[in-house]
Amino acid sequence: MGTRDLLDGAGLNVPDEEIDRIIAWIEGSRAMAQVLWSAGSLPRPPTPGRVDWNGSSDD
Amino acid sequence: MTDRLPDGITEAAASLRDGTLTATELVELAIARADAVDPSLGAYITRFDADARAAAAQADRELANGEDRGTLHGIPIAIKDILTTREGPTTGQSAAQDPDAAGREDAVVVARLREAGAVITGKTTLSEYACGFPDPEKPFPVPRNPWDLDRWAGGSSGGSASAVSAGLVLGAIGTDTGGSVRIPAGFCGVTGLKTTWGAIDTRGCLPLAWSFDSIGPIARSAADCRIILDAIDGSPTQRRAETRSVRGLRVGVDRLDAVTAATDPGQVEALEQSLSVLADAGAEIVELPLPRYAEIVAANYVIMLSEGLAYHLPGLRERWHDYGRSTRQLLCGGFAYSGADYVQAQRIRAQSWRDAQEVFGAVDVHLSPMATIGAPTLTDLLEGDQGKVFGSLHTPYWATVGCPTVALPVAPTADGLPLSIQLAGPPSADRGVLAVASAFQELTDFHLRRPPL
Repeated sequence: MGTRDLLDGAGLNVPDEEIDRIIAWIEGSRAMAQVLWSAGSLPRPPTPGRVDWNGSSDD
Repeated sequence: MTDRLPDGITEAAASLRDGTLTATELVELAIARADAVDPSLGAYITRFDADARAAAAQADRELANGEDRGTLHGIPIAIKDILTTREGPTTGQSAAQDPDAAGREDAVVVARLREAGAVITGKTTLSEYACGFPDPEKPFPVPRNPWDLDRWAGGSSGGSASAVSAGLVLGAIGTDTGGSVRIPAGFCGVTGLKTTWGAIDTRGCLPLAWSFDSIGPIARSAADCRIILDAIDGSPTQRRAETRSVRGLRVGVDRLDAVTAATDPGQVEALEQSLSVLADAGAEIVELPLPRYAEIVAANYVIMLSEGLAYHLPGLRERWHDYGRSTRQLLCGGFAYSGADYVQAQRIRAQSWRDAQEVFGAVDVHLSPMATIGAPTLTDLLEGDQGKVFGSLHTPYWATVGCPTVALPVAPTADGLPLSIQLAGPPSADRGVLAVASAFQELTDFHLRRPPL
């Protein structure tokens, strides 16, 4: 799904004169998510039944 | 009687009790100052002059009758217009906000301030809904910096910080989600505390991001912030005074120079000078890089924009054009993230709490630059490289971790613009952090400097 489709699907009626800037902002914002996944500094996800936000399985 | 408010809350409180000033005279000074400078400063959205005069008269009557509510009794305090007050509407500085939607009951912190005897002077300007940039096209004042009216006061609690800096009030309330107390406090040369997340009741506050929103004081000094904190934190017992000698204090430091987008030439010297002040007074300076800096800052943006979009999506659907141009763009950033991204960001946030335990096992407080530049011009902010501005702000880290963090002024730029450092401490050590900041301010005078306005 493209970014424009995402906005349309959310029910937003972004005017034509703004749409390019909004899409560029959203796509640029994805860089922050990449930082979350690329660092690899968190512990491995917990095993089922031992869910904890930080991924440790000992509490 | 002078024509300006006293230097701080402590001084004003002493004057009220030795008979050299009354609360009525204090509020008249505050009103006269606002009349004189606020048309160009843009600190207030709404002023409550009549109510403030009535509250001050009541405070004078109580003091005359021996009923003393404490240090805030009769002190003029302003409220960021994102918190509800009984006197008037709450706009969030947004045309998309029905002014009466939030109701006319006092937010919890406002009620607590009144109980402590504070005189509420009005509602201050902010970045729209605590997240956008100033929008000159909207029907609200643009919060300007009293050190240079062509510059931004900082955001989001810009009006609260500029009101304190310019001497319109002796203290103000702000909110901080990614730096919204500390950024304007730093840019305006005053002191601001981001409180421990969850420590201050947020009922009556329009949300931006539930995971980070916190309410905190802005005042001339850390000592004055402490007085306001004592009123708003709802502690059932009177807190004892807390002092902290710098001697023997372990101060961790991260200059963050490897992750900064721009640095004022004076900032490096200002930070080193601050470290020297602490070291000369007997502190142990410990080089201590902030763990997981990039991930924790990224988590702040991902969570804030995701939660902000969740709150505002219905409004954006119905009233797109009523939101400011930068606000609607910023909030749409939440569409960049998946559910998995949000969960990963929350995992990093939770891990940051454990990191903080290690940091504050090694040191008592941690020092880093609040920002590495002085306040940008409004032109640069609105038309220039915003990435450069925001890449020079180092507030999101501690907002994600949730620890108490105070921004306090240090040596200014060559142009005389305020610069600021931030001191963070372990969770719930809000008073301890302020005590260290007070000790620093006992040794320096940057917090006493006044803007030319």
